[in-house]
Amino acid sequence: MKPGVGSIVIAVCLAIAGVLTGASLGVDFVTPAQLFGALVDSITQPQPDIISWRLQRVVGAFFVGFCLGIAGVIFQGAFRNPLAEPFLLGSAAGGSLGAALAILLPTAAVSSVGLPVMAFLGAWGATLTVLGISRFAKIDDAAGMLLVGIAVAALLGATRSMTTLVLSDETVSLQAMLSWTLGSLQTPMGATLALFGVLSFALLAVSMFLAKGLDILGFGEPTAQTMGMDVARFLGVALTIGALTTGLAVAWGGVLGFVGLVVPHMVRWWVGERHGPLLVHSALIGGGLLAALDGVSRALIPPSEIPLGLITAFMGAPFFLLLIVRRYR
Amino acid sequence: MIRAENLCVVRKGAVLLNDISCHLEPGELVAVIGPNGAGKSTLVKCLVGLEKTTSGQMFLQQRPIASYTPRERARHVSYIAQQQEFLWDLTVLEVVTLGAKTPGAAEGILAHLALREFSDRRIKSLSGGERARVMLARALAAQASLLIADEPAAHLDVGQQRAAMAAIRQEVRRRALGALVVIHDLNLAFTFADRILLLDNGRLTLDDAADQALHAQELDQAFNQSFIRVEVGGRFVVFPEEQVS
Repeated sequence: MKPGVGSIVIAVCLAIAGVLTGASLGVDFVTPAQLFGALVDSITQPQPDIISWRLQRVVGAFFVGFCLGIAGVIFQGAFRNPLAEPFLLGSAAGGSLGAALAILLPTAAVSSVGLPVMAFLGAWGATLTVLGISRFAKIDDAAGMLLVGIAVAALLGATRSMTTLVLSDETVSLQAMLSWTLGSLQTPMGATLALFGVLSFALLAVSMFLAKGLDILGFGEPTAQTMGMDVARFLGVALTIGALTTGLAVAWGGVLGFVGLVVPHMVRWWVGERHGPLLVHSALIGGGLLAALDGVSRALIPPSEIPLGLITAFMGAPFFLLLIVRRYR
Repeated sequence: MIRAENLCVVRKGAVLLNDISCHLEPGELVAVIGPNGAGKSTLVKCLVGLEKTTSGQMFLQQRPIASYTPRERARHVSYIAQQQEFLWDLTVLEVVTLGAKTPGAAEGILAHLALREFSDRRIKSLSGGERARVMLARALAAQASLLIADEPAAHLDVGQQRAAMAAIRQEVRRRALGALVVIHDLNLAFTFADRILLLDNGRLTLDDAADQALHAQELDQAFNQSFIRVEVGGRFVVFPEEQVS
């Protein structure tokens, strides 16, 4: 399908359907009419009840998926590697180490601002480390770069676990940290949720400025350079925006693998490979998908909740294997 | 115009370019010829800023080329690499539009190169020759004053080679494009070029008008074989002696 107004309308409808599905599912099934009623009531008076909480939680999940969709497209374009994504390249691990430090270190500013900032710094540092090692080793193929990402992710994951073991106490239990690193959504409320939403859309708007450059990088760095691109500068900006988006997603969603891989691939099959449409559609579909999966994670074994990261891994890892099989056959 | 003075490139002790001085003016088509490993690709990569020189100077419009940003340089010089890479499966129109100065320029050049019927085709579905034509269209759509191309005819059949070179020459005549093109096929070079640069083992051994260069003994020396010059239909072509005998 050619990207355009029609495809965006479909993507918006799918995103809304994802949010409604996510909000309907849970320990109790809630109909869309009840959801709408709760939403209307929440305008006139605060609604601390379960439906209102659930709506905010699902909208939070939507923005986490929204950011992961954007980050996946940016990483795949900037690394010139269709198998790249924040989780496989160590960015999410770096973000989670930064976020863990923000939670656990007594000196770090543990606030709604400190956590995303530390998550961003971690994601950015990990991304630049993978890129730096790959360039130093003159690795330019997809498999080699992923191996570097896996090694860096393993190192950062071990560091995070060690930090958690050493620094956790009664106030921040091991169980809570473990749940978070398995990919459990925080529930941003009220103003925080609004800020999260504004930042997500702002990052989508900024990332649209990268779209043409990401298209041109597909011709190879030498051709891109002779077409007028300052490749090193562009990559620096692109990976910073990719890390910001990853950091934002990690701060509220923990470590959620494969969303950034699966969503851009599905969207490519649908609207083609130009990065402008790819960014917009991946953000909307990523958001809708994660919102729906959040509902599934609460509905499968009520009243317990399955960490969302486990569900995305169960769904995404076979998809990743499928891509590898297709690539090498 | 672009001018190189006393260019030297040394890599790991090997001299790839040795004291090369050359220039490219608007409105002329210059062919760079020479045996494999003579330094043709290294020379064009230096001129477009992809290869660092060990010594020497290069000027674009009288200004040192090193002082240009990539964007400024791209406004003056467009480039077609020897190896083409297509990571994303874009349509032909999308590929050409990415390189075009204006959206209209993309449409125009596709029509000019008889590629309009391919507009909506995905680039990965095209043959090597068709892709080469698309990359030529992308480079010409930039409407830069200079075109530097590293074997743009390499993947083309005989008819397509001539069509591609004719398209470049037409741009040279129509809007005074300056084109520097690496060509393996000597007769293609002598047919379409105004001037020939002959590289031999990193040295520029000949810089002359095409009809003069065809008769030069430096040609035989560079390729280490005797060429026979035969007049066909009022113009000369060259054959290796053993091929004729």
